[in-house]
Formats: sequence, structure tokens, C-alpha cells
Amino acid sequence: MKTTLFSTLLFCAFNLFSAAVSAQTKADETALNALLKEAYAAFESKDAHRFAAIFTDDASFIPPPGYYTKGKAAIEASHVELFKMDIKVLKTEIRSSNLRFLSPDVALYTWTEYQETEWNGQLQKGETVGSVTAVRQNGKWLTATCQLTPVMN
Amino acid sequence: MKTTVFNALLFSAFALFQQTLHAQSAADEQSLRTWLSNGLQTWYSGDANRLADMYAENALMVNWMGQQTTGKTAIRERIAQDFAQEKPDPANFNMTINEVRFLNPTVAVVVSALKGKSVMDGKTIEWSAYATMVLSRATGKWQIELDQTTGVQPPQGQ
Repeated sequence: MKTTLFSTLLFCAFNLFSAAVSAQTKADETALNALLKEAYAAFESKDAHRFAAIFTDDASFIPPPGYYTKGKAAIEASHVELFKMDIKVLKTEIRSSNLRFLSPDVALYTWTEYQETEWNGQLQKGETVGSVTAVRQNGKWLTATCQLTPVMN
Repeated sequence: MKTTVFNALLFSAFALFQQTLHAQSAADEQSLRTWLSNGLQTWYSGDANRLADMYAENALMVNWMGQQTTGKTAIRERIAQDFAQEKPDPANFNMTINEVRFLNPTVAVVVSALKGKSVMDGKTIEWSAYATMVLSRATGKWQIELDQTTGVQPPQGQ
């Protein structure tokens, strides 16, 4: 009788724990999706400060042309210059994505995007593979690393 | 008097704790750099199996062409194919670590600059790239979760 009661309690506790973990993961997934959407929205609105706000202070960023920018301030400064150019994002399509948690406060987000952009009046289109390592700081998910690699056909 | 002694003791304990933490992270960084250096030697040796063992079971590798390879088994095959095409040569390859950063005690990030020479269609080309590796530590052993490379494009107009 005692064993049955104990097993039932253990089972209930496990279910409760699983539900809590699942709810937490769902909330984290939503927050991480929002982080990626914010990055695209900030880029499309050509707002360097808003774009840099998704990064940690010591983040690293490697965009498609393959240069390395270190730190939030440098990322903002480089985008202030970039957004002075005549850039228009015409279309962005996320074609696949994958999210993995390496620990409760570190997530690895990878995706493939198709984008059509206009740079100084010239149409550019193609796929890019992106990755973000996100960390939770003071309850908020931020980007610790971001790298984008153009897909060569 | 008692309060002063207590404060001094508290401060000393805190300083000792900080020092221990710092020493731990310095030791961790050194061990990680040694692991990376050994990995580079494994790459030069052309041993695809040993190199693939550095990757996590569901790791993702993104090469400079944007080709994605997922999972240790597929990564092993990809490395073997690459080695069959071009044998790694220390004379034609250089890796400089730009940063080693711990996101927490079990997850680290390594960003490095790569430079090299390769033969493509009978021509020798010089190339450079940046790579991000995201590493996790399971049961004391580091493993690569993500290995992504982006080629450096020449400035526009060149």
C-alpha cells in the first residue's frame, strides 16, 4: 500500500516536473524566435542601435562578407556605416530552422534563409546559412555569437 | 573591533574565492587551447575518424560554401571526402585564435581566423575565412556542437 502511494506520488511529481520543463522550453522557444525576428526587423528598418540591442556586450558577429566584429558597440558602429548605403530588403524567407539547448541558459539556433535585396539598385538574391548562440542574461535571451555564410551554388 | 575583523575576514574570503574562480577559468582556457591545438594536429595528420570524434553526435558543420553537414557520422564522411580531394598541409594553412570565451562552465565559443592556399581547377588560390566553433563539455570532455566557416570576400571594386 505504502509502495503504491509512494509510486503514485513519484509519478505525479515527475509529470509535474516534466510539464514545468516543457512550459519553460516553450516560453524559451517563443523568446528565441522573437529574438531572430527582431534581428531581421531591426535590419530591415536600418536601425543600427536596435540591431545591436539583440547582442551581448562581448558578442561576436561574422556577416556574409566574412569580416569579424567584436562587441555590441562595434556591431552598432559598423551597422551605422552599413545602413548609410542604399540597401532595401525585398524578401526574406526562412526555409528551415533548428533550435537546440546546450544548457538551460545557452541555446544554439541555426537556420537557412532565402533573401532578395537591392544594393545600390542592384538585385541580389540567394540563400544564407545562419547561426546564433543565444544566452540568457537577467532573464532575457541575447545573442552571444552570430555568423552568416552565403550558400554557393 | 569585532565588526572590523569580521569584515576583513569576509573580504579575504571573497578575494580568495575570486582568485580561485579566475584560476579555474584560466586553467579551463588553457586546457581548451591545448585541445584545439591537438585538433589542428589531427587535421594535419589527415585522420578523418579521429577528427570526427571531436564532434558531438548531432553537431552541425557549415563549410565556407554554405554546405551543411549534420551528425558525427555524416561529418566523418564529409571530412574523409575533403581529405581525399586535398591533403591538409601545414605549409598552406594557418589558424589564429581570435577569442576563446566561456558562456558558462560547460559551453565555450572559439572564433578563429583562417588563411590558406588551395588548388582549384589547376590554379593555386589564396583564401581567408573566419570560423566560429561552439563547444560543449560533457563528462569533462569538450566536443564541437557547431563549426561554421565564412569566406572573407574581397572589398567591393577589387
